[in-house]
Amino acid sequence: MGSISYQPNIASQVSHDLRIPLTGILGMTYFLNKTQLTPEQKRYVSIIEAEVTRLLALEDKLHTLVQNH
Amino acid sequence: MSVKVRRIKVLIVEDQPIAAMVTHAMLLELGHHADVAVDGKDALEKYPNSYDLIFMDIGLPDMTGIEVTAEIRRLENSQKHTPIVALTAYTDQELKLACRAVGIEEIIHKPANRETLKEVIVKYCNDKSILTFEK
Repeated sequence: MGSISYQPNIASQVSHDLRIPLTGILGMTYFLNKTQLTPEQKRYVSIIEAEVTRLLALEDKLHTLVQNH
Repeated sequence: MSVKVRRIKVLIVEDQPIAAMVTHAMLLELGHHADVAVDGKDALEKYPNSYDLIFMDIGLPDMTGIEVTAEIRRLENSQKHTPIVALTAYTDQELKLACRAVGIEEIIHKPANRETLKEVIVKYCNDKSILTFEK
């Protein structure tokens, strides 16, 4: 086998580990949206998605900051 | 306007059950067949089933998706080239270089939505043998 490898540095690993559960939450809201939801429930799911998306964007910023430090 | 894509066979290489479940559900909704491999060893065991497209997670428990891809390319020996797209939560530049080196077509960042998966399929699997299957 060739010697091509990928070894994430600690900043990338932490970033990755933060993204995984956030991605998991969005996966669950995706499934929730496919069930019968009341308008009230839809609203709550939509807010969860918006908040998690914000977290992901923040995480991205943080990762860039740490990498460039 | 809709794009007609044939029903394809996809391998999802992903160790996180939730992520695998979501990608699998999305691909089924798009009308395709999808198998899941839970680590590098599983992926290499399933690879001979011959897939039209592989979504490769990078952070696997036994080896990286880079190493799995390198081995698949070695097995293919330039006789064929299965499109392999990285689907990962790693977002750094080093990964881009490693992916290019082993012949990964592109990197999709998690979370991927259904539209993104569909675009990837249209981009790499929309060949001349299109049937009129549409979703």
